[in-house]
Amino acid sequence: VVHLFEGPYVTCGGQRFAVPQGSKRLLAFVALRRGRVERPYASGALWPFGDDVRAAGNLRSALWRLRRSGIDVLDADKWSLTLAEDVAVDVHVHADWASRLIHGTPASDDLSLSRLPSGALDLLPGWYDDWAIVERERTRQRMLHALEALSRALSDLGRHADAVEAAMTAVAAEPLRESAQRVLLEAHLSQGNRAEAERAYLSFRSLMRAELGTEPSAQIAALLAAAQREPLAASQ
Amino acid sequence: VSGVSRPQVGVCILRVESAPGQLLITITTNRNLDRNLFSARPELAQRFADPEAAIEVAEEFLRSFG
Repeated sequence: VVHLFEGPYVTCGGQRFAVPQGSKRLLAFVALRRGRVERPYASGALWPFGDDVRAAGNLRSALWRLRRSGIDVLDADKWSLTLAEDVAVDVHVHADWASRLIHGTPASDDLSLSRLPSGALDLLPGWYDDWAIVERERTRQRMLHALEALSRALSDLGRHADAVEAAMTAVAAEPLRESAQRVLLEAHLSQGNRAEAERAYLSFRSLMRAELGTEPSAQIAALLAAAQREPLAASQ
Repeated sequence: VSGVSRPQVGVCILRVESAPGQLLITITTNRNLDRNLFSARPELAQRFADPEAAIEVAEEFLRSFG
């Protein structure tokens, strides 16, 4: 398995392999693509400063260092690179988990916050290649949406504590994200905790005022107001 | 940005999300990347609802490179 969250590193048969510094970007670049990568494209993206010959040499060197360290996860021929068939990538595994939650088709063991891997909200921190920035943002957005969907699904199952925790994880990652705040309010209200919902709303409103100089939307305020008018319907 | 003696590379990322009734704009900057476009330094993130304020920060970032 190629691990990019809090990586890159590779595991095989319970053993962990450190990726040589000079090979990390190549491994991550190929691993993030679900398919074959042309060598000139990879070398051009990874070593954009300098000529093509030097970039191709850097790629060969990175491949050689990877193999020398005992990591044989890339299939390379004269023209292209690809992950070996039996190699999994943690980002893809967890993206699939997130997709099942977002599309409302989770398996029973998907409904757990423990499925969110450590580092999932900040893929390859400190890496600023264009491709890394795009993948980091894509993964972050997918995971935030998944957390919101997870919270709602857990509330529907009456697993209120887990629902609140999932929502709070999304809020902690992005405190100004209104959809995450809304899910947190819903999780509190679903459990019948109006005071907690109100506290969360006031905290969000203070943050909005302090950071953006604006107010939360009318929709989120209406959610709380409606709950205050209605009798408690949730489990106690 | 390439200088005479030592190239300096920085990055300024603008993320725009449409929130109900407003925009949530996040600008993340890091001005000390190495030649592999990596930085171990924590990035600076600033958030705005006003596009003009966000543009001002992005402009200041660009101008700081001389």
